[in-house]
Amino acid sequence: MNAPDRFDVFYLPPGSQKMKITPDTKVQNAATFEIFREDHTMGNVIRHKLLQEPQVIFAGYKIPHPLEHNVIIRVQTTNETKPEAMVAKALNDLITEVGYLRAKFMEDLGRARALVIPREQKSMIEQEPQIMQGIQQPTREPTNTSVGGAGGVGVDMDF
Amino acid sequence: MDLFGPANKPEIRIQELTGERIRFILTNTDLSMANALRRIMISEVATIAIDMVQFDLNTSVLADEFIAHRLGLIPLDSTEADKIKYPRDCNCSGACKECSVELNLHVKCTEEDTTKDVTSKDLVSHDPRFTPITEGPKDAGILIAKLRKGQEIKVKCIAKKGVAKEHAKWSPCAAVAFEYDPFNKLRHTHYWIEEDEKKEWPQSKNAQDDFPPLDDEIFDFTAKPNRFYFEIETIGSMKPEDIVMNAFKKLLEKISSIQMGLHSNDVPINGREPTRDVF
Repeated sequence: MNAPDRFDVFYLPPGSQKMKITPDTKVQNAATFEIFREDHTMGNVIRHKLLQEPQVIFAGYKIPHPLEHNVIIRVQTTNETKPEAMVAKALNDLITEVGYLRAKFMEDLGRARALVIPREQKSMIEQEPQIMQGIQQPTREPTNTSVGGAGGVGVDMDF
Repeated sequence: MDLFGPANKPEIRIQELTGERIRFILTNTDLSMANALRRIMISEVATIAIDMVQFDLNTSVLADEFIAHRLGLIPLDSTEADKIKYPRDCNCSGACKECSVELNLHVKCTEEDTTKDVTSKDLVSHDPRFTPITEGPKDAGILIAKLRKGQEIKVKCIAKKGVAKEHAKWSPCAAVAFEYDPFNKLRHTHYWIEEDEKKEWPQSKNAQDDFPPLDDEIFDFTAKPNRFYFEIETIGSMKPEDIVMNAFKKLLEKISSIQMGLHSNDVPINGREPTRDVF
């Protein structure tokens, strides 16, 4: 009846704001950033990046209520900079880091796939009756059930 | 890339890659990054799963809800899940071809003295891209129900795209193993022992990829975990490497949406120049 939609946990309706910044009224260079529809995944990662900056005096995050899917990050910086600038820098650095990791993963995937193919081809030869059917099936190839053999699912042809 | 020093660039090394699992080591990042990746792989990589079931006929001994639940858990091939819209983003009122896939199941038992198995192989998909997965021709399929003579099930299923934050049936991972510091050098855990820790606690598989401590090593209380061991096992709906790639993509999307949120509060995106006139 009045149950919230299941996707309320992570879905922000279009047009609504993602973040609310509230400057601290009593402490200089401090602010809380309320991020809507996020959880520990982003809260912890942003907090960690902020703490790596020497200009950040304090950074912490909390999820105030388990049924409200928002994260609050509190940041206090030195006089050299502003909390907004440090959060912006943290996010920027995160993009660089994740982008770099993704590129690294893709790079290593080429190497790993090259090692996988001979192993899977060998295990298919051992199971002769499946070979012909394996060729006719373009997307998924049969898996052998032998213990220790590499599964043949998803050996694709794009490399 | 002046962000990382020469010695502490993040690194990924794939240890094992097969059709249903991947093992890799993530180094020179912090725990929060590794944990974010783990959390996203478990709960935010989009897949396709049956979400609505219309029963035209069910004379089996199982209740409609029971069968509907079992249908929801059947893994559908989700390698092309990004080509379909989320139902909430679609303009249609109910379910259209752009945001859903229809699958039909119609089985009747006519055999005299054996029960008939209704399996995932009996599901007929309207879209060849999104079909129940099978592991080769010998695969018997996933059992949904058993029918006695004369019993019949006829249902129409609507599969939709979703993420496991909404329901675990959308998770592409059967298991995500995550470990750091297999020798417990950081003392993040405490082993309960009777006499000897080394005798009583077997080493983890990842210990052979880590650096064992020296016998007289002094405890470094400033040390932080920086070597993370992952092992991802799929349920078959997606290739394991695709799960990792999609997780990275999703993580980037999440960061940039927060960046946009910050930007809409009049904060410059790169953050290099501190703005002093915001407040």
